[in-house]
Amino acid sequence: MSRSSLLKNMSNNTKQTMTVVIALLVLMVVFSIASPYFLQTNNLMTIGLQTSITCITGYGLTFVLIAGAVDLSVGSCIAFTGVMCALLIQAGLSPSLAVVMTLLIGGLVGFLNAVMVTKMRMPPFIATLGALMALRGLALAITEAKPVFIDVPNFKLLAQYRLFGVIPLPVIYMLALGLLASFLLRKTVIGRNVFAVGSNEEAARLSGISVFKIQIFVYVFSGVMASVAGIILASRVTSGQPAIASGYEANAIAAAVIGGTSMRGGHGSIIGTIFGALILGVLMNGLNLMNISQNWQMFATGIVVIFAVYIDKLRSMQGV
Amino acid sequence: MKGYFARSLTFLMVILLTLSMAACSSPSGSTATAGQSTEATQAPESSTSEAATEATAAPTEANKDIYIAVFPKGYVGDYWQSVEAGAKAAAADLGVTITFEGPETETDLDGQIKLIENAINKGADVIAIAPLDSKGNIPIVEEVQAAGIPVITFNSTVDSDIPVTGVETDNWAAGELGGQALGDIMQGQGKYAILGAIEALQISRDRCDGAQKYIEDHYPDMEHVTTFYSDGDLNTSLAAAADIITANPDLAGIFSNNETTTIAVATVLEERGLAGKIKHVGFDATKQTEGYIKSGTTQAIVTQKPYDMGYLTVKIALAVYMKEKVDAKYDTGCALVDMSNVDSAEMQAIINPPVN
Repeated sequence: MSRSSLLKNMSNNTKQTMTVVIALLVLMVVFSIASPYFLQTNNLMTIGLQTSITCITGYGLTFVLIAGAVDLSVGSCIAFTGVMCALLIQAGLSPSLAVVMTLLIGGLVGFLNAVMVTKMRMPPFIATLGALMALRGLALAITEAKPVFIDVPNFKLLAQYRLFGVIPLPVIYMLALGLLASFLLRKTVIGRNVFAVGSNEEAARLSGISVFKIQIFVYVFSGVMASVAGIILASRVTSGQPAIASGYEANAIAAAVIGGTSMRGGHGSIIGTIFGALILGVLMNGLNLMNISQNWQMFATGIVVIFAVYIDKLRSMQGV
Repeated sequence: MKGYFARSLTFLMVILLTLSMAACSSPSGSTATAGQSTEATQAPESSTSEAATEATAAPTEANKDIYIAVFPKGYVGDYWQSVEAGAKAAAADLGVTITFEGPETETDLDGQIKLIENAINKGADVIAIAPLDSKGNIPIVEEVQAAGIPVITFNSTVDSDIPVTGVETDNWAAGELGGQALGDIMQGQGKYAILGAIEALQISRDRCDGAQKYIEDHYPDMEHVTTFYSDGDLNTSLAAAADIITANPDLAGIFSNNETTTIAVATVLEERGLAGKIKHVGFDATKQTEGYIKSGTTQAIVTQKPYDMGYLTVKIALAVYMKEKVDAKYDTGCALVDMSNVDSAEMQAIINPPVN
């Protein structure tokens, strides 16, 4: 990539992010006029809390999408890891050890996804669709389809504690993981290789990048992010719920795509995904406050996603 | 070519392994997979069910070949598993063979229809359906009739004259009970909101509307601010509960209409330190929601009697097979759980039902 095209790329990324930020601001202005409660600190914190699940799962998807693949298994992975965490605690593990084990399980799920995609050469869409069904089935089977209650008082602090009495911990996780993910993606060799593999897999291979390792990396990252979301949800409702987060892969993909991550690979940013997730979160919260039904909320979200994909398409037609 | 064979062989072995795993694990959890069949003949467990103890139908031995196929709306959650426990207890008491199969989600109409079609082919003697949709289930009910098999419904109904009878909770009455409880607890004063599960479901709407109507009629000073439906997902319900409370700072009470929305409301009340300040009447007493009663976050929970529903369904299905006279409708009733009775034997039988 020549220096000038790199610059052009950067500026387009910034432009894309600016579009999303402006869209978010417009939404916020509209909702703050429509509801006097929208801008209250408490409500803004609620939005952060509600956004954290989509956003953290979205980080994983951003990596996978930039590498030119997709991970549809994250919604089921949230439920599976949440249930595993609850079962481990129920089996007598300390909450901290259970959390570490659960993160490892999430990583293992990602690793298996990557093996299917790379070694077994299955199309990512099909492989992770299989994983979506298998993990949901497993989550239901090992719990006999019942929620697993977590009877340890400390565990719920993980998601319910508020820093300085104001900021819910999941918001802190969201920001910290966002910084980490952004650093990995932009400042490290592995991050640059993720872009290279997504832009042109064959060229990346020829230039000596191990496509296999990069695929493993993005899927493991996605699995771990989903398990973080699984742990947060389990902590919030003090139980492992096998039926939870059905369809959340769509939210995570939507957050990434709204934030400018390309479905064709090679393009995207973590900051964009944060704003994408915030748009979804603000949309839901604002419409809730205005007492607009869930059905219209789904409709509105769909329109936003379609619009975002259209912008992505326009960009690709400009040859960026 | 060799590679191809090796790979096919591996694939085949993986499938066999998976199947054998499923086969080995099924005895403990009869509901391990959606399509799995549950044969419950005579497990000599006793049943404790006030509504449905005495067995009408004839001697146990003679009934052994009678096959009653029962189709719940789903099999996830304590509710359906209590229904299953009741159905199996009835099967054991009456000596009939039953299957209890539901789709994975309570919106998978197609999945339920496929299960029912299989039962027609397996030669079921009576088919009991908890219809997922009052209209969408009409064709399959007609198909069952065409095969000469009598149909009854339970839990919910279908817009058709074909079912011989129905066993269900009167959800409007259950909603009224919730409205009455909330009115009592709020002493007839203040603003209240209702959080419902799935708007498209008649029973979901009946509970909300029943509660609202009762409060309008009996507590005229209470003000209804909103009835909001989440789509049944727990995380979405959490968001909805939080946002209703934000949008109505002077809210004094909430009624939630199923287990998921009840967990959501109680969680948000605890997170915001509003437990006890905003009164909460929930729905469906389970191991988790019972905790909210004990901690004082939730003041009362309306609960159905799923065990009784399962028991009665099988009992009535057998009566239909025996061509006995049955009523057009059976109400399995509902009860109110609060701090005063949560530990009573009667309520504990509902909250922690006898396991299968």
